[in-house]
Amino acid sequence: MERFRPVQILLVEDNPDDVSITARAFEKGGVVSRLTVARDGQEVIDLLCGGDNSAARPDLVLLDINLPKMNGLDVLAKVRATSAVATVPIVMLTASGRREDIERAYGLGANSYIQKPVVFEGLARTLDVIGQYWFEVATLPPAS
Amino acid sequence: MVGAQVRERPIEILLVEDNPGDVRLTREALHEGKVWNNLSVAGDGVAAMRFLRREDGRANAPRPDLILLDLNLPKKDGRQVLEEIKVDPELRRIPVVVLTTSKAEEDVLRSYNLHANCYVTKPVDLEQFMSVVASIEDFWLCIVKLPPDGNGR
Amino acid sequence: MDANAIDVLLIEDSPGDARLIQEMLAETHRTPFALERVDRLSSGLDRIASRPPDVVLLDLGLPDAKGLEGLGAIQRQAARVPVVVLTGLDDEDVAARAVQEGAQDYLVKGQIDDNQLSRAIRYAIGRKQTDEALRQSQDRLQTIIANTPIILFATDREGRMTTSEGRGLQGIGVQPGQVNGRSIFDLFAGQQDILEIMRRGLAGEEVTSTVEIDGRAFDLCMGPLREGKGDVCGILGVCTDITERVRAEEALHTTLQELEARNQELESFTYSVSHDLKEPLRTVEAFSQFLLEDYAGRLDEQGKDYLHRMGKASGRLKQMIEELLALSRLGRRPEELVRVDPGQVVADIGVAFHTGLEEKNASIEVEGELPCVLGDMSRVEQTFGNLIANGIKFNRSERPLVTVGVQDVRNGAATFFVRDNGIGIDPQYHDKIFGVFQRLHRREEYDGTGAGLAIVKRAVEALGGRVWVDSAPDAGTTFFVSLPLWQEAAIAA
Repeated sequence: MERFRPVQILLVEDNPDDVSITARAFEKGGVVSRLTVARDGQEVIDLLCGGDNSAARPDLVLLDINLPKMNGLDVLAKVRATSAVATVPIVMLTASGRREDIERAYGLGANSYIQKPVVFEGLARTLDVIGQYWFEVATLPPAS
Repeated sequence: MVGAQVRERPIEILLVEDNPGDVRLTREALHEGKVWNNLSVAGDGVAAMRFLRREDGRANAPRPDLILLDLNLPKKDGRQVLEEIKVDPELRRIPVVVLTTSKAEEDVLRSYNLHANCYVTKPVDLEQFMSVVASIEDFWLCIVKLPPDGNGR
Repeated sequence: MDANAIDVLLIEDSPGDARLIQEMLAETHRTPFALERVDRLSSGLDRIASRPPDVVLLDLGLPDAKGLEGLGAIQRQAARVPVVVLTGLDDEDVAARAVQEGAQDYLVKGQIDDNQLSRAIRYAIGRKQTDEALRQSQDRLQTIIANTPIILFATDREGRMTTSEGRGLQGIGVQPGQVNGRSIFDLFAGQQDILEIMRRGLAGEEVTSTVEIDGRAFDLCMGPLREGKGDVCGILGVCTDITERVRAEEALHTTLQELEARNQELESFTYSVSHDLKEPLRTVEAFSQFLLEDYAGRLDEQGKDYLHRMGKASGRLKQMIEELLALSRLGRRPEELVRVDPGQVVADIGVAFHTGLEEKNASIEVEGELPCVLGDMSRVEQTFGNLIANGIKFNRSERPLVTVGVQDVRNGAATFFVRDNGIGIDPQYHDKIFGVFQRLHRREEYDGTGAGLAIVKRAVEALGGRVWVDSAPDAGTTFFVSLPLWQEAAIAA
């Protein structure tokens, strides 16, 4: 089931192989997406909080915690503090399963927290479910 | 057989819904699901808050791990409930999925502004409804890591 | 001569006095005396040298010995022979001096009768024996003290050392008696802990403590010395050198700490290696899959086969990494030991394996009630989980059955059994099967990396238990697992 407009996904990922895997998963799931990739926390902030036009605003952000340059939770805090993007759905997708990280993420306003499966099969299935849920079942916040 | 997960306790879900038909459907759908869960129901906004605040002698009861919230509720509106939850330091981390009939953009916007974790429009069709609940389960109960409770699950 | 007679040597120059003595001694019937008389000291000394008498009666007025010289000479000759001094003079001073210098008694010739003489002789002998026994005893004690690595010390009521003996003194470079006369407050100036203990002793308290003197550690045990009415007149103490023991304990402690640190390092290392290994593995798996999906049309059977094999190999690699991870985590000492109910664990496993059991028409049964054990949930789960899984997997029966029960309970441990009606294990492999990644079958026959039993062994041993097997080909297999019993008063190690 394709959507009438391509959904914009901002993927924060510095591993180019994982970018390919993710892009393909969403493609395959029937989610026609435009995947923007940020490779570190600073790029995310520049993209989202740069005070730019709302055309750049993604429909969903997949955010890792262990990022070069900046911790993903700090990025989360900053994004949530920026009114233009305060309601953008942010799904933490990270290797960390630590309680403190989970608690903090929800506390800072992450919409959900997913521990990224290490193995391919798990990752593929997780991405499938994410796509299916957020783009076919859930109603995303309107652009404005 | 490495690392088989034997769950210690069911996932506690609070459904805030006044329509008994919807309650029944939701309960059925979750009951058939793969993940061990326990569904509690509050029929109006006031009951929902009392349940969450663990009044009525439930001081030691487990807090819900996930809340499914209808917006149109008697006694206290779902939007009000959402706001109160997300403002309360003990409750605000609990993911709230707004599960309601309204498709109105202003309801969607308002819910996300009030920090709802997600907004899902309830389908009218029976099968689609069951399928939506199954999706919710797939995502929130299987894939997602819900915030840890005080007892450390 | 009567062998029981008391052998008396009389050194008396006056014949008249000698005769008197002889007659007195002859009068007594109870104790026969054998009397020999010499009239000068030198003769007496000769006699003593050749055949020491039981007692010497020594006249003080001898031609070849003035005053108490004779006494001294006899003592030098034969210190063990008791001497009774005889004299015509009733001189208290001389008497006192004679006894001081070692004579057993002092008799005035004109003032004694036969009974007194006889008594004096017998008592002299008796006392001398007692003195001897005491002296020997003291000598023995002295030898012991001098050779035992202890320090025996005593002080007077002001805290001045009166005694300091024992081989333990060598350890602090002090000779026995060297510090006698010095005050403990000088000797241990600056060591408040020792002085405090001494003060308490002088105040009447018994104290046991560990102290450090000159770099050596001692167990100190001391108490007050009391005189007649119970007043404290000093302290008496014994110090045992425990320096070696303390050093050994510290060394052991350090070693244990190092070992623990090393274990932690190894675990972190294993964890991060395993974790890091998974990333490129994911890429391999993913792109193999993509290749297969996208280029299946352009690949011939050979090409697809290559990809297929790559896929399976990465699957195995993945599993081995996960099992290594699990294994490394299991070896660590469990943090918290709690009550675990194996019955509940087996029931949960039954639920978790539901689908697999159905597929193979298999079942799990529990025989009787399983006692609770002291352990942790994860390890108990992994133990029973792997054993049960194996029982079902290595099984060609139409209705695979795994039975779990308790074999016996004693000495604070419960031995469980997990029995199956499977293919059995040849006895020659009964040890090998617990090795990591040890497999007995070709991959086509039975899948798996072979780490299951290694995991069980590690888990069980980390909980202080043992695992062993009883089996023969085609005769089923029974694994035995012993684990510490949960006991109400049990304290987690």
